[in-house]
Formats: sequence, C-alpha cells, structure tokens
Amino acid sequence: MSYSAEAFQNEYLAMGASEVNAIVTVTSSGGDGGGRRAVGATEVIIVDASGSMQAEGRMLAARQAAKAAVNCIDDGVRFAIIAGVSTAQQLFPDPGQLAVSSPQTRADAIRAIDRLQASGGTAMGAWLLLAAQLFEQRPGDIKHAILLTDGDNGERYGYLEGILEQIAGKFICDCRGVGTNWKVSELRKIATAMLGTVDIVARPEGLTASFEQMITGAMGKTAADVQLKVWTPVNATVRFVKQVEPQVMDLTGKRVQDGPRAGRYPLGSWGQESRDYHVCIDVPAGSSGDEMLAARISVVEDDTVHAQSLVRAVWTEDTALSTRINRQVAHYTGQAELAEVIQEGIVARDAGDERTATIKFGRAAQLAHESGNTATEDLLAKVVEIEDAATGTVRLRRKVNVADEMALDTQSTKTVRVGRSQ
Amino acid sequence: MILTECDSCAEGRASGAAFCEACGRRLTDAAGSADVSPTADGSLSGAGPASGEADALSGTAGSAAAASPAAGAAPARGGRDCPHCGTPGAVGPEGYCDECGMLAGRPRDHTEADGDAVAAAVSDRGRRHHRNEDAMWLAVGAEAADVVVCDGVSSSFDPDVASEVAAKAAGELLARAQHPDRAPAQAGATEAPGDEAATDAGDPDVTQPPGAEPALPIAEVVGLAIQGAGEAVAALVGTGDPRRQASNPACTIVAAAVRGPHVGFGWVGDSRIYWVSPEGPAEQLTEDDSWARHVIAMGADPRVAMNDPKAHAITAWLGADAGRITPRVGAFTARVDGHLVLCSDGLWNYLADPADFGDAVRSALRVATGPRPLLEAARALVAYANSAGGADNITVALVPVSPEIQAEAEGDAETNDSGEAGKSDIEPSEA
Repeated sequence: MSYSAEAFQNEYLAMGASEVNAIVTVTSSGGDGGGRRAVGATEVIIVDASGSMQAEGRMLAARQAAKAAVNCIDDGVRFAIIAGVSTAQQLFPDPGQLAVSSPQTRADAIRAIDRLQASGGTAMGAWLLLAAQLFEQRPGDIKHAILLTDGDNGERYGYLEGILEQIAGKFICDCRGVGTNWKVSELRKIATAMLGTVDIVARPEGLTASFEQMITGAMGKTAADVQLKVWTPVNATVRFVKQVEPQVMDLTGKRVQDGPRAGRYPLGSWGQESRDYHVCIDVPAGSSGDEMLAARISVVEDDTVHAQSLVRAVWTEDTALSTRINRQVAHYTGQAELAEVIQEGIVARDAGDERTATIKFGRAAQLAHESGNTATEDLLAKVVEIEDAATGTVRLRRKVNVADEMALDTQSTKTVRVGRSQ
Repeated sequence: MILTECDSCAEGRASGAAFCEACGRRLTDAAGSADVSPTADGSLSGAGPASGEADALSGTAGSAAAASPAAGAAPARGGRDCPHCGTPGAVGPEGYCDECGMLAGRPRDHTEADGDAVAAAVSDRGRRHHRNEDAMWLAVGAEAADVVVCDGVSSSFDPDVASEVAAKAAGELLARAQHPDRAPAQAGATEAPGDEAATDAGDPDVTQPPGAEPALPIAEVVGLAIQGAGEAVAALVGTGDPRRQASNPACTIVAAAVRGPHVGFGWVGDSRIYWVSPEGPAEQLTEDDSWARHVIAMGADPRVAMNDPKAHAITAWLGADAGRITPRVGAFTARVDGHLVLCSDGLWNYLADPADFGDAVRSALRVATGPRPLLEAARALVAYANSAGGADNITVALVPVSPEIQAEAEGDAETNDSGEAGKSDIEPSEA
C-alpha cells in the first residue's frame, strides 16, 4: 500500500487571527501487494437473537443475511458467529475458537446458523466483550465485526459505555438496526467508539444486501491500524480532528499523545480508498510576514510514516489573501454543520420543540442543497416539506414514517466530496 | 538544501542565502546563490532564479506529500538554531522550527547575482512579506549584460513561481540579442530569434524613433523575450496546484539587454527601469502599466494617486488571463556614462521622486568602495528600502553603461571573434 496526504487550506491569516483550518485528503493505492492483504484478517458476525426478532420474519431474514455474509468471507480469513441473547453465546465454531474460512467451514457455519432461534434479551455490551475476547487471539490482524440488532440494549445503565471504553480501538464494528424499535443514538455510540458505521435496514428483506456489502468492504481492507499523526508547535493546540468524508466522525477525543508535540488519531483499517479529514489548530498569532508550520500531518502505521503534508500559517496585512475562502474547508465545515443540525432537529422534534426543529431542519435543507448532498436532501424531504431549499424554508410534516426519520438520523453524517476544480 | 550558519558572524538568519544578511560574507553553501562573473572568452554566463522551482514546475504541488518521511518520526536535532525561539538545532529539513513552528528562512529570501564590474543584482524578501515573490535573471559577458526583474502578483496563486519562470524564460531568450556594431548584417540579427518570432517583431510598441537607433534590434529581441516569458507564465495555469486555475500565476516583467553602449529594454506591469547619469534626476525609461499611472496621465495629482490604495493595481501583466502580451519596448545608445537600474516597486515606492531616486543610486555607488562595488551598491539600495519599511519584496539590478570610445572600440574589435563565438553557441543559425 502506498499513501498520499494532501492538505487544502488558505494559509493566509489576517493579523491577529489564530485559527488554522485545513482539509487533509488521505488516499491509499495498491502498492507492491497489488492491494492484497499483507496481514491476516478476522471477522466476527454478531446477530441479535432476542425474542423480538421473531416479529416480521426478522429472524428468517437475519439467518439469510448471516449466511450470505459467511459466503462472502475470503478463504483463509478467520471468523466466528455470535448469537446475541441475554448473554453472548458463540454459535460457530466451538466456544473460544475461530474458524479458518474454507468451503468446508463456511458450510458448517451455515448449518450452525440454521439452528439460530430467537429467545431472550438484548445485551450488546456482553456481545461486544465476547467479540473482543475472540479478536484478542489475533494481534496484528485486520479486525472487523458486524453487529445486528432490532431493539434497545437491556443491560444496566452505563455497562455498555464501560465496555466500549475498554474495547475501543481493538476492532472496527459496523452496526445495523433492523426495523424501527432500536435507538439510533445507541448504535451510533457503538459505531463511533469502534470507528464503524451505523445504518437502518427498515425492512428485513434488505438485510442480505446490507451484510454482503459490509463483508465485501471489510475484505477490501489491506492495512489494519492506520493513524493520523499531528505535530503542532509549542503553544499550539489541536481544536479538533474530524473525518469529514465519507462520513463525519469526530476523532478529537481519540488522541493518543506521541511525544511532547504530537498526537496520534486512529483511522482504522484501510483498503484502496480516499478519506478527508478536517484539522483545526489554534496557534499564537504572528506578526506580518511571519510564516509558521501550524501542523505536520503524517499518515503512520506503527513507526512507519507513509505520507506527510504540511499545514502552514502565514500572517498578512493583505486582506485579499486572508479573506480567501478555501473551498474544501468551507464545504466540509458545511457538511459537519449539516450532520449537527439534522441531529439537533430530530432531538428538538422528539422533545416537541417544533420551532427549534423547523429552524434546524431549515438550515439542514439549505446546507444539503448548497453542497449538492442530494441523498441527505431527499431523506430530509421525507421529514419536512422543503418549500425553498435556497433560503431554508421548511415546514414539519405532520405524519412522518419512523423509518424515514431514523434513516435521516443515521445518514446525517454521510457527506459528499467537494469538487476538486478549485 | 543544506542550512548553514555564517562562519564569520554566526548570524542565524543567514540560512538559505548565498550571503550572510548580517555581515555580507559569502556562505559556503552556494545553493541559493546566483553568482556570475564574466568569463575570459566573453561568452555570456547565466544565473537563473535561485530556488530551482523553474526547473521542476510540476513538482510544486506534490512537494508537500513527498516530504521526507523521516521527518515525521522523532525529529533529530541536527538542524540549525531557531532564529525565533532560540532552541538549539531545532530547524528541521523543511526549514521550520521543531519547537515553535516558525519558518527559519527560504533560499529566495535574499539572493544576489554578482557580475563583477559588468552588472550586479540583489533580491530581498523585505520586512513585511512572508516570502520573496520577486525574481531576477542576470547574465553577463564582455560589455554585455542581460537583466530581467519580475514581481509576482500577490493576489494570484503561486506568484513566486510565475516570477521565477518569467525571469528564466526571458533571460534565456535575451541571449539572442546581437551587438549591433558587430553583427555581420542587420538582417541577420533580426532574423536570428527564429522565423516565426521574426514576424511578431513589429508588434512591440517601439517608443524610440526608428531607423537611426542602432539599439533597435536589441529592443526587438527584448520584446520577443518578454512575449516568450508571457507564454511560459501562461502555461503554468495547467500545471501543479489546481488552485492555479482559479487564480492563475501572474507577474510583472522588466527586461534589458545591454550590448556595449546599446541598450534595448521592455516591460509589462509596474516594475521599472531608470537611467541614472552622473548628475540630475533619474530618468524613468518605463511607464507603469498601473492604475496610478493611468489616472496621473489623465491629470490626477501624482502624490494623491500614488497614495491611493489602488495605486499599485496593474493594468498589464504576464499570466494566463493576460491575453496576448504586447510589451512596450525602447532602445537607446548611451552618449554619457550612466547606470541602468532595473527594480521592482519594493524599491521605487520609497523613491517616487526621480531626483530622490537619482541621488539614492549615486549615493549607493559612492559609498560602495569595496572589492565588489556594484554588488555593494545594489545591497545598499535594498538596505535603504528595508530601512524605509521594507513593505514589499525588493529587487534591484545595476548595469553601468558607457559610450563607446574609440580606443575601447578597437579593443573590442580584437576580442570580437571570441566574443561572437560565445554568442554563436546560443544562436548558431547566424552567418
């Protein structure tokens, strides 16, 4: 794998300005290995088998989806299936073991999945903890898990949070909720801690495609643990580091200090892909003509530096330079705000504060329209009537399909890439 | 490049420059230097822009990504002391301090070109701008000098690359100018720049009376050189950083070719050429392509116009959005001793009055009594602009020009063969 890091910014700051913004595009391309994994990979599939899964043919769909997922696992990849009930039960292979994927083991796994029956409660913390224990056997592997659920977590308050703190960074976990009786905020909490995605599968029929897509994505990863290292000068502080494309993910709190002037932020596993990060640094203001290296951004794996890009600050009295707006920074600032106002709008609406909800959704409609984020604009149109997207004039719909609102919530963090023409 | 400290005075700021800014001593690492000296056989030796960007245009966008990966790991404190925070050995390979992050210096912050007694030029970042967006070219031979000064348009993207590319492109083309008294035939000289170019030669607006002026063919070459530079700068828009397409690199240019007493010059924008004779006010040979010049021509008070915020808005430049370049050119043959002074607005802004300009140049030449008086005088003029505020990048080139006296002409005739041989290397189509 070879990586490149490219910073986009307006390095010119007005006199007295101290905030430096840059969008760093990290792109990886197949190197010597032709995009093949240089390390092993381990996959764990967690299927909610609580009693509620009996409804609407969910269990049947979940079994089919799990089978389809198993069939997508490459030969040689280690895997396990966990049945999620009131406790975590390993469905395949034997407890504490990982199977090595082959036509034989996949067929065995599919037979085991047929035995999966819905009963009992929902204990996501326990399920994730078991997955973490299985992953522990394979240090250095690319580790990915799928979590499927249809309801609220039944564990005591705070237990899941404690587990997440303990296992964060140990593997990537993509979360899917089937039906509409689960909480977006709960799965988002898991996805955020585990650097994964969250999405709704409103109808059980959609599960197979969703599982196949997640496994295929996971099989395309070739690097396990890539990190963004951010060096900043003395007296400078990192205000935030956010992934802003393909989806908004705040990494600021995941900083691990690396020497006195640098910190590392986990980027998870990587295939051949490109992601954008928004880095915001507060620096001491300089005098006219001063040029400062505000941040040195490196893409690192262990001690190997794959790529590097410089974020600079140049103070100038020339307002023609300092007032230039960098398109990338402006675009992704808008996309992050879009995610924020949608989530705030949903919270306000649920709390019955229609005035705030209307303002938030109005702003969201405006931002989605301006940035060409049509996917989000379409989802938004199912929750509000957009009268004029340009001015952000919207009216709340009286009747909103719960699934539509949940889809809007889960998709709110999905961003579109800015055009590179400028 | 290798960062060095001045051996003689240990001035940290010296890094990246060819000469120490504190004591003027030449530094051992000459990577940033544009030092030239006349060669014995009289051929032109050139000195181009210092940072090398003109040689690797496509490399500018990728340079950040290609930075040494080793720098991201534990930074080895092998560099120079930081001039800003004083941390010993903290300046990393990119020129930034590993502690405070401040830039310690760039190769183009201060460059000098030394043509000994024939010409000298100095370019400096000034005090208020973060980088030097001026660029210069100086090539000298026996009684011959090619000089170009370019000033990047700071509101464009990568103006420093524009000026560097323009100076180099024009400088190389200026070498085609023949000495009018020595060319085998006038026709040969005008055809020399190339068949296609020769048809364009009439385009430049020649301000001097035609016919009698022997320097006119030189001016035509200068005009073509500026057009060539314009094409080179215009081509930058499609290379490197995509932001160049939104705000294409642009610069001004002023160029002169001196052949004995004959001078051809041309310009686009507001960089200037002055003729400074032993006494009296400097004579400005160029006419700024600027808003201020425009309104002064229409009757506005020069002082009011020059103090207007729009004063420096230029009305002509080199760049992709400039359209077809029609440089204005001029030519003359010196009848008295004098100095040709090419400069960017970083200097003339502080010497707007021609009388002041003449006095400043003569004063700089008078106090320069060391082994390299021209270079010292150019430095003194840069120092003057810096002491006056240094609000812009400053570039100044000095070329002494003398009338051809009989004895010297004979001496020239003796070296004629070798001198022409040198030029023939560049333009072998002649004869």
